[in-house]
Amino acid sequence: MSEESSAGGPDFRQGVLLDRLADGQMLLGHVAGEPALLVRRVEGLFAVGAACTHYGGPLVEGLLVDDTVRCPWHHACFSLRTGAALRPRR
Amino acid sequence: MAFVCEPLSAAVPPTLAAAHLPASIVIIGGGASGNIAAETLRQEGYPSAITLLSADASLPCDRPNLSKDYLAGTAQADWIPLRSPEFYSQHGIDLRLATRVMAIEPTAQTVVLSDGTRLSYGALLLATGAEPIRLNIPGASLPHVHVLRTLADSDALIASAAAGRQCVVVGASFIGLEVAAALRNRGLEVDVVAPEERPMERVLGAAIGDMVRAIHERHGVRFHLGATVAAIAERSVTLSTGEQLDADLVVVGIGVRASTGLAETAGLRIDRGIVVNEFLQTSAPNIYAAGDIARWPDRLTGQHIRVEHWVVAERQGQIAAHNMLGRLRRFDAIPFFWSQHYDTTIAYVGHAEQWDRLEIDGDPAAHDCAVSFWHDGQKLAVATVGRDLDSLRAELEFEQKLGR
Repeated sequence: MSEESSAGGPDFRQGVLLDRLADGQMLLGHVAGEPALLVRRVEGLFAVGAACTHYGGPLVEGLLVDDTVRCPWHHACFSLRTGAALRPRR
Repeated sequence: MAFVCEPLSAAVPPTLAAAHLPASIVIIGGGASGNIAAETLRQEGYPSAITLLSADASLPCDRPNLSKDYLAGTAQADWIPLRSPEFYSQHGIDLRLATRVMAIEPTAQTVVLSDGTRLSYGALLLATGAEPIRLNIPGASLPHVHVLRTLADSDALIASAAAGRQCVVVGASFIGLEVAAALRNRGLEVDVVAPEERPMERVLGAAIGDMVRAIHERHGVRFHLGATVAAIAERSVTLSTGEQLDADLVVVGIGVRASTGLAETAGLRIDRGIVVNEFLQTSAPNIYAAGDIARWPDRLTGQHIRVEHWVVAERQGQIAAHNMLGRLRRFDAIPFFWSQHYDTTIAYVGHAEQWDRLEIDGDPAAHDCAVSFWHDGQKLAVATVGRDLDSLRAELEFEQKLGR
């Protein structure tokens, strides 16, 4: 049950061209091997861990709502600013 | 170009000034709500004593998994506790397992434990949950008849399943069907007995009910619908139809009853659960309730509802914690649950206690659909299979309807 998103996609430490990422788009990549999500919103750019802290669901397949991302598996909700779980879990 | 360099350190909890906070907090119930309330209090910087009292002998655990992968044998035991034993002491949460509360004294603001000890509280959270309803028929208390609520129940079921060959599951709702799937995974023969015409029909409608039945039948489950169990013997059960089924294991999943005893005796307002307002406050000062026990005002329907699902319980535990710290946060999350049947998961947002119309988009038989439930011209809930993003969108749509 703890599947994690694969650590594929670009290495974000190397930089990503901004025109690859529109507002409301999520890009799956990694930072030092850890799967990460790069998100562009009107308010700015955010990067959070790509796997939901509940059962490891793929946040890139979830829904962006303002400055949060919601997991498609069980609807956990994470702040894009801090990565904190605003709604369960952990 | 955008660069992501290194992770931010985790936020350090603020320290709240103790002056306007409860001098101590007691939480009764070590389930979803109680556990997350305790964690949230510390996350928010609550500096004073937190006592978490659980009647269960096991650590607060991931209850949804007890009827799913854990029961099926595909989850590891260490996935089940929500937190390590050390977590509680590390965060100054006095977790007392196997500890029953005998009474609440709202005027004195104390709780009385079964050993006679009294604990004072500045704020109290009642999160006592619900208990499985048991059959009231001959043989219902034979040792091979199980319910499933706690980790101990799941472990006992697993032990019996190891020796068993033939299981009768009583009830065709969440617990019944998830148990059926898990035991099929363990190689037992499974018969499901239920009075309704289709599994889960009342909650999910006929089309998804048929889908669920088909999935289970494909996995070898036999259904006996339109029937109840009339009597249980050591190696068989007799149905209301007169039919007899072999059974060396019986699992009863016919619902739960809210554990309101303490609240009732303490004089709190009760209505098939503990009645709370939108801030999860009960009728007694400084006493909150959350989780399976709580009946709160749902803004979408204007009704007071009580929902027995995990995510709702956790969200309520979080809100109750904030409100015990003096914030006034309304609980208005859209209820959500999921139900797992082998490889197929049903997601459900909203709460349609009654519905008079449903709309189906897609093909339930193909495990790709969205079913919306309407009552009096208002959409109250959406169930999806294979459409997780649509489920999130439906949830957002309900939130926006509430003006969030």
